[in-house]
Amino acid sequence: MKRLNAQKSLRCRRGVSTLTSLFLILLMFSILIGLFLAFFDYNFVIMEQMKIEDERSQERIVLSGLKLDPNQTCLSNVTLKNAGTIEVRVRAIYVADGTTTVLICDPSEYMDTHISPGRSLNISLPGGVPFEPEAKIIAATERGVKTKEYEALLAFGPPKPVWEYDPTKLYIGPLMLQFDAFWYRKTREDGTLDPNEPWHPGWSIPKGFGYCAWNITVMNIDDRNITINRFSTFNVVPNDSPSNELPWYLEPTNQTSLTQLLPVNQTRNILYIWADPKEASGTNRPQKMTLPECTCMVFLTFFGVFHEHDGTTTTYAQTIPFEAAITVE
Amino acid sequence: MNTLETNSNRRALSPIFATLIILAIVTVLFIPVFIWSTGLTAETKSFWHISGEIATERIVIEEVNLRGGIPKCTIYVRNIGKTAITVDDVFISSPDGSLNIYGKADFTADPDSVVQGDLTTITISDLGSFVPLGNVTYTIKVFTSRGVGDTYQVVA
Repeated sequence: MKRLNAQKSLRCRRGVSTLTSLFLILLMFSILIGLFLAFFDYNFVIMEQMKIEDERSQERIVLSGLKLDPNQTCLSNVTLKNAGTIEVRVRAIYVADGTTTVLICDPSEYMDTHISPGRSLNISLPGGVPFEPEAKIIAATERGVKTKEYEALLAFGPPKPVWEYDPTKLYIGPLMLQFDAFWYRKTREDGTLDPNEPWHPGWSIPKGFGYCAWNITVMNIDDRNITINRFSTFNVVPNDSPSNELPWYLEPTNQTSLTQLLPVNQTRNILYIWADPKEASGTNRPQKMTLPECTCMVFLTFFGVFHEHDGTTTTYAQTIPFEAAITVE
Repeated sequence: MNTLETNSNRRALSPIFATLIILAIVTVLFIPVFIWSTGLTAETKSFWHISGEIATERIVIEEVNLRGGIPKCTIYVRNIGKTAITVDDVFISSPDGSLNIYGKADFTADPDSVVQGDLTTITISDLGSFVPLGNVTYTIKVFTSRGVGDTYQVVA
C-alpha cells in the first residue's frame, strides 16, 4: 500500500514538473520568437535600405536642353535625360545665380516626371523664371541625385571653337587654300599659256598631257602681308611611286624680284609652271605632266617672308596638303 | 492493522488541492520571471526597431542658399530613407573651425516631418551673430531627431 501511495505521489510530482516545463518552454519560445521577429524585421529594413542605396547608385540624370519663351527672357522648358540604368522621378528644379539658390518647382506635382533609362523628358517650368545666362539650373530626383548646368550652355549649346574643321579650308598657317578653285592648263614649250586651251578643273588630268601649268587660289588670312618666292612649288606625288614626284615651280608676278605678294585678307591666284625655280634670265623650261595612269597626292609648299607691322620681315614657310588626290587618267 | 493503514493513508491535503497550490506557487514565482523576460524581449525588440529606423533613416541636403553678407540661410533637405524624418539641428561650420549651431527653435521646417522622397525646406531667418563672408566655403550639417545627418559644402 505504501508503495502504491509512493507511486501516486511520484505521479503527482511528474505532473507538476510537466506543467512547469510547459511554462518554461512556452516562455522561452515566446521570447525567442519575439527576439527573432525583431531581428528579422531589422534585417528586412536593412535590406530595404541597401536596396535604396543600390538603386541610388544606378541613378544618373543629365540636363540636356533648355527652352526659353518667345521673348527669350524667361525659362520655358527644361529637358532631362536619364543616363542611368534605373527609372527616375524628378522631384525638384532649382535655379542658382550669383545671389541666391531658389527652389523653382516640384514638377511631379503637375506632371508625370518618371523617366525610363535612356529616355528624355521635357519638363515645363512655371512662368516668370527669368533667364540668366550665368545662372545654374539644378534638377534633383526622388532619391536625391542631382545634376546641374549653366542656363546659357543648355539654351545655346557649348561655345563653338574659333577654328572649326572645314574640309574646304584645310590649312595650318597664314595661307588658306580654296580647294574648289583649282585648275590646270596647257602651256607651250617656252612656258607661256596656250591661248587655245581653257583652264580645266584640276582634279583629274589626262596622262601624257605634256607641258602644263597649275593655278590655285589662296587667301592670306594672317594679319601680315606675305611675299612668296620662286622656290614655292606645287608637288604632285604618285601614290604608287612617290619617288616619281613632279614639282611645278612658281611663276612669280614680280619678274624683277621673282616673288609674289599676297596681301592681308586678299584672295590671289598662284600660277605654277616651271620645272625649276624661275631664273631672271628666263631660261627655265616648263614642267611636263609625264606620269602614267595613277592617283596622286598634292602638296603645296610656300617659302617667303612675312612683312611685319614694324617694317621688318621674318621668314615664312608653309605646306598645304590637298584634302583629296588628283587623278591622271 | 487498520490503524496503521489509516495512518499511512492520511493526507494533509487532497491531491487536487495540493496540485492547485503548487500551480499557484509556480505561477507566482513565474510572474517576476515573466515580467523580466517580457521586458527584456520588449527592450530588445525596441532596440532592433530603433536600430532599424536609424539604419533606414537617410537624408540628403539638395541645395543650400547661403550668401556672403546675408544673415539668413535656406536648406533644402530630402528624405531618401524609409523612415519619416524631422530635422532637429543645423550646424554651420566656418573654415576657421568656428561652429554655429541652430536648434529647432532657431529655424522653421516646411513641412516639419517628411516621408520618403519628400523635401523639407529649412529656413534660418536669422543666423544671429554669424554673418557669412562672400567666396568662403562653409560646411552645412543637418541632423534629424534620431541623429542621422548629411553634410553639404557651399561657397557663400
